[in-house]
Amino acid sequence: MSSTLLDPSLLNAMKFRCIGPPRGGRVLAVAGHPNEPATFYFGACAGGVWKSDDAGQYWQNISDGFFTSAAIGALAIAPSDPNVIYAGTGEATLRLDVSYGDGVYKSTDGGKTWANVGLRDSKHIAKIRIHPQNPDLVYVAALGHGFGPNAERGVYRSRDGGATWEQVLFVSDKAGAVDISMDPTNPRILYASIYETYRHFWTLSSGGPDSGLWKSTDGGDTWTELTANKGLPTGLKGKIGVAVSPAQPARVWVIVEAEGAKAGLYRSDDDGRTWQLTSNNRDLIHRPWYYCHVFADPQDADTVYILNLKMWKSTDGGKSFTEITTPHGDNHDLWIDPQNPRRMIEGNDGGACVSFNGGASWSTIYNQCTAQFYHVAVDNRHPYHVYGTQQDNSSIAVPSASEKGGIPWADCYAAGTGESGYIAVRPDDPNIVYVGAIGSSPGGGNALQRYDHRTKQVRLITVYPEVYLGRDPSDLKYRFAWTYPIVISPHDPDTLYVTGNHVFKSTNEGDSWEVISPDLSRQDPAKLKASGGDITLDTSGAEMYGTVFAFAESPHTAGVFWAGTDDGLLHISRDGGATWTDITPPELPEWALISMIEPSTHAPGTAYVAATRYKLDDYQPYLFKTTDFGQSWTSLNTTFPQDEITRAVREDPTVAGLLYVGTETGLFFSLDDGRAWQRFAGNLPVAPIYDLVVKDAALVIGTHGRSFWVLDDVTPLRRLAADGVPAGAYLFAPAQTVRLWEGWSVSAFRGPGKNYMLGLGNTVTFSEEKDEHGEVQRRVWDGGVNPPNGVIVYYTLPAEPDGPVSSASWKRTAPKSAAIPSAPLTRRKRRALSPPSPVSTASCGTCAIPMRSWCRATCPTRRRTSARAPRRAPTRCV
Amino acid sequence: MGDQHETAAFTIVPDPRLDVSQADLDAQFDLGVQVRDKVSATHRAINHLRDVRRLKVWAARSDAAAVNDQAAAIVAKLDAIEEQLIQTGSMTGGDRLRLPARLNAMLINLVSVIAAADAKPTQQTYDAFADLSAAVDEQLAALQQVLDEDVPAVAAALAAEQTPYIKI
Repeated sequence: MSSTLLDPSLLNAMKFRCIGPPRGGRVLAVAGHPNEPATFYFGACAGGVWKSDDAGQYWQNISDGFFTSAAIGALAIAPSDPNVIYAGTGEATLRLDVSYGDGVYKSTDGGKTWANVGLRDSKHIAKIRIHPQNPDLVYVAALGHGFGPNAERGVYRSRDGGATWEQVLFVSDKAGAVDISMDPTNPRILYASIYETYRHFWTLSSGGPDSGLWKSTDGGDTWTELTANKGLPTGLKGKIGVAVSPAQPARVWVIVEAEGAKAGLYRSDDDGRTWQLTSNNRDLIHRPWYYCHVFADPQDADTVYILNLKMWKSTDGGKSFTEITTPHGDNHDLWIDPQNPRRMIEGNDGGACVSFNGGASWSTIYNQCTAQFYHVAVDNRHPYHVYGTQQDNSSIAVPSASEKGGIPWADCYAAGTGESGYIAVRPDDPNIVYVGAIGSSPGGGNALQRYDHRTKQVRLITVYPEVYLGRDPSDLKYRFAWTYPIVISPHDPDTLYVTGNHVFKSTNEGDSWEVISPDLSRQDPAKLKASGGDITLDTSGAEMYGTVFAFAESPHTAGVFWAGTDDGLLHISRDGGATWTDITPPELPEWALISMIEPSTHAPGTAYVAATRYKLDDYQPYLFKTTDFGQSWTSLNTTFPQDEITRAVREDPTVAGLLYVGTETGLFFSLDDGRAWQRFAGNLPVAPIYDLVVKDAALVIGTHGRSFWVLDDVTPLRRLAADGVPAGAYLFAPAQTVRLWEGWSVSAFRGPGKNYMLGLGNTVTFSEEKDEHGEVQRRVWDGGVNPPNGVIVYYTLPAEPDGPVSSASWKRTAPKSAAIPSAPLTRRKRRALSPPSPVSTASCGTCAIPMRSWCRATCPTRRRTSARAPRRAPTRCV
Repeated sequence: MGDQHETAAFTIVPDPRLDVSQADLDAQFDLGVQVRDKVSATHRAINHLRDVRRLKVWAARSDAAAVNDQAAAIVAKLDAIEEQLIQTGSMTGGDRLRLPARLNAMLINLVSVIAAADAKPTQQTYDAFADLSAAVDEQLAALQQVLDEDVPAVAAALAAEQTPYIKI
């Protein structure tokens, strides 16, 4: 059977919307405009580049459509020509959820447009520095591959604005550049730090003999190692942050991961020849692989800032420090205006924030939809709520629609405090949410919370409350991964499963647990040791290994369990856990992380498995299907795009063989059970997709860097997957639509520009403007976007019509008392769906849509009640 | 104020939204107190062994090598017990990721588990407390053995040679 592929432009008619939450994720890269006081930029670690021209009140993404990686590690504006901006992709803090990039991007128009200018294999870029007078002379600190050795790492220089690059400092294929500082008074002088580090699924290693500090005095032509200079710590080194003082150029600061009390802040006042330890306060250098960020004040030589769990400031040459509170912990990047050091932008694990008073107050981080979600769930309310676990934050419930013109932050609530895990909502009571909360809960390790929205209380029902900090995983009673599965039985809402190295079952809401499997992992002792490397242990729980990472109970038969481990084993039990059989696909390479198991709702023996080995430096997809309970497997990889990692797989519950897959760069789907795959681009941004759920006709996506996105109606895909591509004109039967009521103030006070509506308690800020088709589009600046206010109608036409397809009639077919009124429907319009064919550049006469697009007509049910649609009714066709 | 005293009774009642019995709350309180008492016992033991460890200072005043060796052996045992009961390397709260948690921290963690919500403790919380209590008791027994058997021997030797020491 031939594969089914669609002309990608057809998919543009299917619009995703971001429902929020507007709560920021991790930011490693910030920059301020040198001349425009209110203009700032930040790069989200997995959410692209954002710009504000109002001092951080509102942000808008400026990288969508240009970047093929969402992971921003570095950002720099040319001081002599602020139109020139460079962005380095792939953060260099190799956290568990670190995303990789694809090189350096450059804009020459202040961020309006971008182009990739190379270093694609550097994967993780830590810093970019631009010559103060020459926007074409730029240096990149490239860490290189985070999960294995490679050559494209170290310090790179371009003298021609990124057209060509020279690798000017290379130490080894195991170590890359993690920081670089340029003396603004003599930009030939550069200090760079080289860092030997890697991450695997089971460990993070920070430090090694190749870590060190280097200096160039000739613009990078030659480099001298300073690591052994007098006063710097002896012994093994890890990460080093470096900053030369613009106020006293012979003064250089380094913060050094070193053994014991030698770790700390060092200062040189003689161009790096000799050094003295100014402070070894551990608060400056917790988790050195994650921080080691030092910033010299541009005007006061004795003032220096250290970013760590907290933000610290010294005004006495680095001896003593006071805390500057920031809106979120875990602080990473700081830009200080050279002309006005009280003007700053700071990046932390909760977003980016702006200060004009030296950090006494900061702009909000609740205005950026860059949340990083691990898992997503939905409930059975209306409007349904979307639940997720946000990295370095709480679990959260976000309504899929609101009467407030958009979905404001005020309508979201923390459903427990779980940052890390799976999240499960009782299907019979949305007040009860079970959520994993390793790293973000009272009660320490393995935390499992039962959140009750009636009382707002969080009860800890952890399988076995055990402190893992600082300990070897092999010493623990049980091991649970950072995102261990939490699953309510599809057959009984009172039966709850969670998995660690064993599978556990509770039928009393966690009051007690029963072990229903042996240790299902490989239990390799070498991979069950405390993480961190030889210098500094780092045992957040993120590297807990040898666990069941993916778990599902058959939707057909209670007691049929599928369990996949993070160390590459797959088991099935068909007797409620009494016996388990190894069904690992023979083609699955060793040590793959089995990321997700999706039992088919259409056939009992059928399941799909997504696995990945990216933390072993293998970026290929691994997708498998079985139809016989795992006795045999079919690889679905051959047609899947290569160099995409497969985290999540779901099968449509309505149509067998309609598959959705989340990767590090976006969403892919197959209409034909995996024979052919294609990217679902449209307006869905490039972002890591960790989880997705089909909710009735909607596809709900948990991105790890761009909050939640919803495609409200996937019925065209279902029709195409079930019956193939229609030959002639075709009207897709619209999905059932619930009429959206919006508060009167949404329209009552609508004006040009931003609409705030604060006075009536409606807190979403939105603006409206006509798109290229003449249709009004609402943009929400501080919250989520509502579903279209009407029925979504998709249709295709076989060919370009001779003239305008003006209107169509509709009639009410449901009684007026029906809960869901049959809306005044349809629309004029042309446009065709056809089998794969070249995309024509022609457009229709009135709205400039590309040929061969689908049309999506949105019928405003609230406003139109007549039995006949007006001939020129507004139509959305995108 | 001055000699004037005012007294008024007050009542704290559960949050009316809760569905929890007094028996459940009593169970929560009782286990919390048990954990507290175990933490206190652990900390008393730590303080005690740190006092006893000063024995090596007194022993150093002895000219007898054997006495010094005995004291050093005792100190080694006490160090080992202490290292099981408490993490001695921590300087700030952030150090917990790089230094292993010890028994007192594990016990204290249970307080957070028990007190997280107005509810009875889960079965596994009782189990974890029993496991940790047994581990603490093992260390306390080892400490008692040092106190009962090793320390008196050194004290006797010091007394015999009339080297001054403080009896803890």
